[in-house]
Amino acid sequence: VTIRLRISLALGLAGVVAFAFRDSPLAVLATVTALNLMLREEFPFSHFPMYADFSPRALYVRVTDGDGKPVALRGMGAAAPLLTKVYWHERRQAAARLGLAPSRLSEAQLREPGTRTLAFVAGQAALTGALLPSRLHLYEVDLTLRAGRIERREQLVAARGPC
Amino acid sequence: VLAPPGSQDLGAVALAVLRAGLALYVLASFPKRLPFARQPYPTGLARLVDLTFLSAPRSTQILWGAVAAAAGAYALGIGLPAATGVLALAVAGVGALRGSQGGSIHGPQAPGLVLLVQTVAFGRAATIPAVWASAASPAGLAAQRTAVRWSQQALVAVYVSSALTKLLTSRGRWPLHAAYAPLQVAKAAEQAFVRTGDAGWRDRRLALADRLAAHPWGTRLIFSCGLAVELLSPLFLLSPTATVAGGGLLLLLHWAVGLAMGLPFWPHQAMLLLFMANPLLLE
Repeated sequence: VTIRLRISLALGLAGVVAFAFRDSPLAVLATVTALNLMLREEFPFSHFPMYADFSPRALYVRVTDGDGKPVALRGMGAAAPLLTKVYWHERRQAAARLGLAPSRLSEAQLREPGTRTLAFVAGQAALTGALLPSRLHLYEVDLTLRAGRIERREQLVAARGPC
Repeated sequence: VLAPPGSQDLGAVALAVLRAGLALYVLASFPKRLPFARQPYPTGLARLVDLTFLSAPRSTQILWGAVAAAAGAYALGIGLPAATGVLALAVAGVGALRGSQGGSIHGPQAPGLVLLVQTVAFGRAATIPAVWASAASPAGLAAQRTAVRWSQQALVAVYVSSALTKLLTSRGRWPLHAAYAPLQVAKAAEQAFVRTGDAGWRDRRLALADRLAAHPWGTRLIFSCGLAVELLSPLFLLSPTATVAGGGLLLLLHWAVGLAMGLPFWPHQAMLLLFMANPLLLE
C-alpha cells in the first residue's frame, strides 16, 4: 500500500510539474527529473543514488572457494556490485526484523543475510548452468580512511557446502 | 506543428542516422538470455506483471524477434509510433526484471528513458497517417525532431537528477564528503578484479585511490567539478553548439568515472554520442 501510494503520489506530482511547464521548451526535462526524484528506483526511472554521498567506510562482499581463492561470478547474473547490493538488501531486512540498525548486527546475526546471499549465488549458478566450487565462503570487506591512508579489514560472514 | 519553438532543424539524413544508431544500440545491447527465474524485489513493470516468463528460452527468442522487427522498422522510419513503443516496452521489461533481483541497476536507464519519451513524442503524432507511413514526410520529420529534442532533455534529466540526489542525500555536503571517495575507488578496483582477474588494472586503481586519499582537498576539487557539470547540464540545451559541447563534457565525465571507478556507463555514453555529442546536430 505504501509503495502504491508513493507511486500514485509521484505520478500525480509529476503531472502537476508537466502541467506547470507545459509551455516551456524544457517541459520534458522538468517532468523526467521530477519522476526520477519521486519514483526513485522504478526502472527506467532512477534517482541515481550511486555515490550520492561518501562515508568514512566502504563495505562490500566477495565470494571465495574453501581455500580463499576468489570465485568469478560473471555470466551468472550475480556480478560483484549486484552481489553487494543483494547482501545489503538482506542485511537491511534482517536488521528490520530484529529492530536494529543494519550496521549494528553482530557476527552471528550477519550469518543469515550472508547465507541468503550465498543461496542467491547458488541459485544463479543453477539457473545458468555455471559450475561453482563445492564450498563457498562469503567475506565482508570493510575499508576505512585513516590519516590519509586506506585500511582494509575482512571478515568471514557465511559459508555454504561441505566443510 | 509538433516541433516546439527553437527545435533543431535536423534534416532527413541526420534523423535517419540517429534512428539507425538507436536501433543498432538496442539490438547490440539486448540480452541474449535472462537468467532470472524469480523477481523477489519487483521494480517498474515487474510490479504490474510477473516478468519471469521472459527468462524461458522460448520467450526470450520471441522477444528477440519482436525487438529485431521493431528495430528494423524504427531504423527504416516505418510505423514509428508502434516500433518505438515495442522497443521501449522491451527495454523497460528486461531492465525491470534485471532490476528486480535485490539490487538496482544503473546502466540502461538512459536508453530506457530516451525510448520512453520518444514513445510519447511519436504517440502524440500517432493520429497523423503520414507519421506511420514515412519518416521523410513533413509530419514524420516534425515528430522526429520533437523526439530528438525530448531525448536530449531526458538525457540531461539523468544528470540533473543525479546531481540533485547527491545534494539532497548529503544535505549539501557532497563536495566535502568527496574526500572519502578514494574508498569507493579502492572498492570498485577490488570488485572489478573478481570479475576480470586483471591484477595489473586493480593495482593501478589502488595506487590511484592511495594518491587521492593522501590529497583530500585535491580530491574534493576534482569531484566537485563533476558535480558542477551535472548540475549545470540544462545549459547544454540552449543551442545545438552547447548541446554538442556539453555532450562532450559529459562524455569526459564518464571517462573520468570509468577511470576511477571502473564504471564507464556505456549505455549513457552511447546515448550521449547519438543525441548530444554528435556533430550531425550542428547541420
